Amino acid sequence: MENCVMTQAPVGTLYDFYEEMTEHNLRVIFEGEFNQEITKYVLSLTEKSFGSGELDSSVKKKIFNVMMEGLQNICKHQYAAIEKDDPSFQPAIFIVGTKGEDYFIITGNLVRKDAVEPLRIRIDDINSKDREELKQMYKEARLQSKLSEVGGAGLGLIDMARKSGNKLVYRFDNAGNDMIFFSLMTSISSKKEEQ
Amino acid sequence: MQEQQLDFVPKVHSKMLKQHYLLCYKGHFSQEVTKSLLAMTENKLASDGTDTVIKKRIFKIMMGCLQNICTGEKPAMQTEPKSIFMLGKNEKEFFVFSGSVVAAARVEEMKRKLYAINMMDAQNLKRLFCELMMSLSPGEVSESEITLIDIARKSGKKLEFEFRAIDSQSAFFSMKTVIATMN
Repeated sequence: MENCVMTQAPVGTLYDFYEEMTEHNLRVIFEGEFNQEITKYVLSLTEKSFGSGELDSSVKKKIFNVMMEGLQNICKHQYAAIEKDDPSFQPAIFIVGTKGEDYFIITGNLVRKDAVEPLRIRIDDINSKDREELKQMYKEARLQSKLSEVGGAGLGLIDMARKSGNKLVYRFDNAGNDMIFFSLMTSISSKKEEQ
Repeated sequence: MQEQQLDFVPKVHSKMLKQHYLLCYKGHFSQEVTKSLLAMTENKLASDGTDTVIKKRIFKIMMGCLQNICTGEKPAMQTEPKSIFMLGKNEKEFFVFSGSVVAAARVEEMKRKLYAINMMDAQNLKRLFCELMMSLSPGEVSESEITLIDIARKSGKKLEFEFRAIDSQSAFFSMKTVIATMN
């Protein structure tokens, strides 16, 4: 390996990332503070990353709907576990990639340890529902969120499951300081839905 | 178990955090993608309160790097995108990374040119850049090389680069440009 001055973030890390992104078929990784503007730019970048003719318009719409939900979820929960100014704060991450003919969106953010079990139960419950049951679940959750500011937990998760038509895949990893890093993947099939 | 599909996520997250990376993009590059990347960076720099002069410098360097990637890409010939672009930032500096697959036969020539650029001081870089821009005939210097000279001028620091052999036919060319965000 030849390079010039070695500084923080050495130039060789670029190839490491290239290999990692190639191995897992990742296209976009954004890590930082999420807001409405960033949401817009990430959506725009992802849209432009697709080659012309790569995506059917109905699949594209589904992907962007799920992306929007994922990004809005991050916007809402990125500081829920820990304040931005806290030295232990870790920003959220957003990833878009492909798997065979399918597309996936991954979000990752810190949650408190005591949030893990309720989240696990919630997602497993969502994953156990069929399409009609999810629709009903969404209606009930929406009503609950209208009645109470605290309620409506998991509305975004239900919506992501509905829009993608696939199970949510999740993972919890220890992040130190009683914090857990929560990763969530939503997959969207590129095949058109049967009429 | 399905969650094993996600075992790379905390690792990627940790690497991004450790190296202060903000964004990685690996895909097809175009003017539209360039515009989106610039817009994202502008938003980030505005929220950090970065000085306007430095912001302009960062954009011009980003534009140069992205143009070189776009020029180097042959979309009709490749199904798998072979270029990557990354941005990073810490308290004192902004980093722009660009990388792409190049023919192994070009590596020595590219190294020679990059070393030559890095040997020049600010005055010589400026003189060379102006000479090339005013040149009436194409000469031996390509547009990409002129862009590299301009990137070196604007950053005011040595270009950091690396060539990693992939196979007998190709190598991966990585370049990092550093821009100080504090005067």
